[in-house]
Amino acid sequence: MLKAEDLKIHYGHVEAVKGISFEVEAGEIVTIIGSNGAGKSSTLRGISNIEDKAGGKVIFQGEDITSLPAHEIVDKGICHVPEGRHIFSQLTVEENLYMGSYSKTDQTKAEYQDKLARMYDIFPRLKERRNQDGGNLSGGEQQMLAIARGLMMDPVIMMLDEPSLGLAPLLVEQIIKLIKEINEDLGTTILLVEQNARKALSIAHRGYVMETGNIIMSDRREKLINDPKLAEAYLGVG
Amino acid sequence: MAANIFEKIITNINKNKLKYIFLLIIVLLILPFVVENQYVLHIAVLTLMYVLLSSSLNVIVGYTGQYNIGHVAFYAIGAYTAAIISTRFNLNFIIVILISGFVASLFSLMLGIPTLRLRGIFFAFTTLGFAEITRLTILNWRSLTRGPFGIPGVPIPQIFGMRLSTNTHFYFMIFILLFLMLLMTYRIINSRVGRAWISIREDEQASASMGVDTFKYKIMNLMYGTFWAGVGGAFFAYFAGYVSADSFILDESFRFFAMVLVGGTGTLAGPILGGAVLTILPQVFRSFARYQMIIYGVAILLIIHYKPEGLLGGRTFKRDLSESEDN
Repeated sequence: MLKAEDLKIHYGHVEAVKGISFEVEAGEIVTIIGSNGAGKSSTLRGISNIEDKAGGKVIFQGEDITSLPAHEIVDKGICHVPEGRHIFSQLTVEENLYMGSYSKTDQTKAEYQDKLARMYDIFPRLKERRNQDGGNLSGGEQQMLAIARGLMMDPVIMMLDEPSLGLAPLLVEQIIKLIKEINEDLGTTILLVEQNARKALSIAHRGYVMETGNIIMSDRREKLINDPKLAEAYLGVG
Repeated sequence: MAANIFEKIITNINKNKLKYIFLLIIVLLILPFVVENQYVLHIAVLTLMYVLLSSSLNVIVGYTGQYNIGHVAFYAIGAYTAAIISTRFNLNFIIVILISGFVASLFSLMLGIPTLRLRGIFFAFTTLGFAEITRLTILNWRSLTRGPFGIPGVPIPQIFGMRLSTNTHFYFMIFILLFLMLLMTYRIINSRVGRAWISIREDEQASASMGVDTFKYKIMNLMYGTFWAGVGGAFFAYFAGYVSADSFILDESFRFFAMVLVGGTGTLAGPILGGAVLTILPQVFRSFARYQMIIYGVAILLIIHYKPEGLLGGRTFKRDLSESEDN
């Protein structure tokens, strides 16, 4: 469904992504794992065109979206939940969710309310805090808000950038479980970028391993988990 | 203690918002009939003009977070456009004011296209530079602006054969302009466009991720704000009857900025209060007029220290989502 071909992203002379290719099929959870600075976030930023690409092609549902502006990529159904959450901190939780449906111009008020209620079902914490400013939420709640806000646009595919970053282990567990539920219950395809390889692989169908701008390995989850080299480098032996 | 009382007053005003707005309008409408002192009336006109100008800056700084510190340029362009066309062509003042607004807006488009991709402080520097370029151009393009001599003899505006020349006339003229501006801005802020503006202020990257065409909305925002600066400038040209480059030094930009900061960014009420306080206060202390900038400086320092979001800023006037028309 989403296909990147020879994707390149440069920051000045630094080649952050050196021509990678990967693919995500409908209904899958695909993860890109790798250490800090491997180029994972840049890859997502390149797909959603927040960052200019130095080369390569992005195909989404058979359509070349390589050079579409960021807001039109959203209209196609690609939702990017950026690293560091980027919630609107001076807007309330509900206003944040409202902004999530910004691109749904043809949506009626009833449909909006309906979706809002569904989000509050999935994220009861957000309902409790609906009138609080986004900036006053805890890290975990902010991550939930960022995901819920993304879901408000009914994405075909959701690209999550380091959702576990800076969260306590228990919360990481919870967020990871949520992502699986979103995939299974809402049928949203997921592209998950994570440093926490073990957690990411626990729910993914397939994975790509990135290192200094290149994809060095790609396989089904079971294979990756049992790969001795990978276990040593990313999963922590033991 | 004092802060507490202030909070209480704000809560009260917030609860009875419509009533207070209505009361304020009534008071402002009666004012010119009660006040006979022409000097006071003159100050009242200037006050409303500065409220209009600081409100127009607030649209850009307060709602979209674009630090335009060269706002005076658009005020100057509006004033000069009005002076130039009104002294050369026999046009109704309403048309002249509109044209002046559009011309200011057009210049902001030309400035915005190459510079709005710059972030924060870089955009601020560019606007600062633009303000100086504008002033120097005015000063040196003698065939058009008469340079340092300024343009005198801006005709007295007329409507239905009536000459609008007294302070009272100008008072109502600026009152109507301000009223239209605030009404229009209120409508926009509570529309899809306003949501896009605010989301850009909050987090531009997230805004783009929500499907907001951030560049388009930033341009639109800049053009809308500068339109009203141009309108304010045109009004000033008619009110003073004379324009000169001296009126458009950078100090004016800082004055607008101080008004927005003191009153509170991102609220309609903020610049009204800020504009009024910072126009009237220096007049009260006018015996030391040359220390005027000190008043602005001290006011900004006090605000930054005690209430960084401005007197009426922050979430003092929380919008209620259930009230909005589009959902």
